[in-house]
Amino acid sequence: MRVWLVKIRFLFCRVCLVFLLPVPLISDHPHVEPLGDFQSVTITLKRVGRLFLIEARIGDQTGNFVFDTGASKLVLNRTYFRTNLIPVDEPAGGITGNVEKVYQTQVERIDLANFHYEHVDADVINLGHIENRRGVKILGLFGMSLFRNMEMVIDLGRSELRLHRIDREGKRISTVTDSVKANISCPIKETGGVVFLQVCIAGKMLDFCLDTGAEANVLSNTSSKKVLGTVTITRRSDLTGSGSVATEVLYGTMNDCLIGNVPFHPMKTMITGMDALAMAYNYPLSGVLGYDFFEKGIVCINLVKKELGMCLVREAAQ
Amino acid sequence: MPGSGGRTMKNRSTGIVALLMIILMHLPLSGIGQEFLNGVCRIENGRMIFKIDLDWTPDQLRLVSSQFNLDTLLLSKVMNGKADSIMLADGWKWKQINPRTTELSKDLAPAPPHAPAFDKVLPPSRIFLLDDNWLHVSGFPEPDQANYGVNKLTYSNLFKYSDSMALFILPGHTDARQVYLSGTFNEWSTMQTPMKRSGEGWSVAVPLLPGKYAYKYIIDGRWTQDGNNKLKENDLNGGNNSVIFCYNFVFRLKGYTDAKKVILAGSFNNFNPRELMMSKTGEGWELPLYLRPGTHSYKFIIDNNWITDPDNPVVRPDGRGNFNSFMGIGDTTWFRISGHQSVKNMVLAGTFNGWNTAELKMTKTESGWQLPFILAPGNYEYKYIADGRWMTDSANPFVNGKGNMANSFLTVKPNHNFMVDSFPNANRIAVSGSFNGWNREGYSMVRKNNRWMLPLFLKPGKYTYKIIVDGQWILDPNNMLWEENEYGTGNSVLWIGK
Repeated sequence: MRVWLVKIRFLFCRVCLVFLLPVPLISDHPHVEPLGDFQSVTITLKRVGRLFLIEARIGDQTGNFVFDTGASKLVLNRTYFRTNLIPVDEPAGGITGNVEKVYQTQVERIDLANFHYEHVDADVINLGHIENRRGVKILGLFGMSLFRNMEMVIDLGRSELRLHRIDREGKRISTVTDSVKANISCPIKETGGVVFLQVCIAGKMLDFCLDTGAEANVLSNTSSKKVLGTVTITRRSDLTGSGSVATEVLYGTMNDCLIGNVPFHPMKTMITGMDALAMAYNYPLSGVLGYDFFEKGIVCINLVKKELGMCLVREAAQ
Repeated sequence: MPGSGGRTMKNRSTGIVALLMIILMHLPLSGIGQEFLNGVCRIENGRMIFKIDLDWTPDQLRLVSSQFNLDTLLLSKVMNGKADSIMLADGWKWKQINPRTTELSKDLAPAPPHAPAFDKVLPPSRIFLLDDNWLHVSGFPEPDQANYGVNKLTYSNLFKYSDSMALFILPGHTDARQVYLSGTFNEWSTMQTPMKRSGEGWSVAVPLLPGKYAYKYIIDGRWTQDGNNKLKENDLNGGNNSVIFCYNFVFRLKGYTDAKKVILAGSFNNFNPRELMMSKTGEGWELPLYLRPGTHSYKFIIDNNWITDPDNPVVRPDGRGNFNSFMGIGDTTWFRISGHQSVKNMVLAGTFNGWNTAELKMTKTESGWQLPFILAPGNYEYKYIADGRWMTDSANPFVNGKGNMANSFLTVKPNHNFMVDSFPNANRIAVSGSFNGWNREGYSMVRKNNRWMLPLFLKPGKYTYKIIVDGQWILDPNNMLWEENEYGTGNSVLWIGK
């Protein structure tokens, strides 16, 4: 039942997009308050390849969590969390074809180096494949619910995530100055607990998800001929998944790409099917902005102001 | 229209096809510009289309094949205008655009869940991982292996190492709220090793074994290289990690106090005569350093005169008419066999010497044979060769393999002990996993007092494994950690730390 509901919502979103109707936003985004004596705090990120990890302690387990703005909430790796789990009614396999079971739980307390969270709701799934691919112990994913009511400054160049407390209008309470001066500013919106912004490719405005957990940008292979025509495709991988089902993944360079009216090309991207992900988000997204985007500068996200600022570093703007 | 334009190609001989394939597989790619790849692939109406230029050189074809994961046989067929059922069954179509250009196309398959290059964890929590062919990462950055090492600190008192404790001192930064020490010794933990305020700076003592370590300080959340340490290595993130050595040996030379300089040179630094300067002490000269476990040859150079170590009786010829002093770091393993007194030649061979059958000749004793050998921590297989006859070590219950293929199995300095308390009536219990390529036989466990056990040395990292009880694969009943596998039966999970 729930599967069909999700599919209907997905189709409705697509219809909305086709007829340029406003897409209904989901309003019940959960969040948890970081507790501690601070107005601004720096979270040290650990880098493994193109993933960035946050170290934290839950109970007697200390380990790494992927910093993942593409996830809406805390996710735990079932290998290490098998008690007090509540099974979710319908396995999400109804959406993706995956038969994996999903559980939920609540974590009493999560400690980071200089603050903590209490009573955090979490999904519990198997994340063993990330460990096996990247060779590090992964206790879970830190999703958006842990950062939602803070201003986030994502500085992957320094391997830092800086959080600033903000008031109801989205202004920083902190007196600590974060010397980042944004030279790009653009609106963002929150849907399904994650953040989207519009990217202009070949003159078309497309919705992309901001995802620090993505090792690469991703562009949907069902994008228009005009959009895909701006991408120089340089590699292909014809790979077989665990269920012996092959998938096409192409890799290329976006040559006509504007964010906040600033050119971001050339910017690397993967190209593959995204229907399953769009269904998961209940939103007809066209792509994902991942590592290839975040490495171009310091990104500031303020969900109260619904605004993204970016200070470009290196040769991002050309 | 598939096949309609293939006539111009049909006259080419099949021999050329075979030759082309061989050339494609063996020719080097050097000297080919990759710009021509930019227009090769495009996507239109849900299909990926490859534009094949029939004038491409074999090198260019090979590059296209490799970059776009296109089968060389498929490309050869297209070049020759031949379609077959296998090609069509894979969904490929082709058509001639003009006499020199062909297009090969295929529908884009939807991404299945858990596809390796597009790795979807369940919604709403998914992670996109790049394919390992494009980005292969295993763990955090590790320092390069070192044969030896000497620290280069601005002030030598900023690092002290004794009794397996390393004291790190960071001067200054007195305004900081928190400082942590993070490095390869604590798996780059950002919260495990806080430093304490100490005088005009910060300090922390860490238990460490001799070796080479990379580290950084985390000052109020920010990664900071040690500005007082001149040894550094690339951190793979645009910066550098500091590098420190915990020493395990001190070279000492008594006397020669009138010498102007004394230099240590050895096999560990290719007998470099200018690198390792020794320091003068009250009684002579000394140089503390880290040396990789194993056997090393060395000499002292006193004002340009090379001498062996006068206090070391172990001196061996260097093969060029001279002699070097020898020393070893590490534990000696004694291989001993009882009996076999009538045997003329007893040789030890194993994975530690590439199964060389002539190298390690054993010495006859009153009760049998023996050979001392320094081995680094690890797992080894070996056999004895008695006058040409191979045999396992009857004194060692640990065996890998069956019948004539069985070898004695030795673990030096094991860091994990697999143990199974259940199944006292089992005939054979073994363990198999990612550490031995999921070998079907597995490593045999040995029963001692109704407990099955197998000590192993495993490098740091994650391992998945199962216990095999009389041929039945089960999860380790003594390990709570397990993860799902593709068969729905689960694998036990084991992490080995440093």
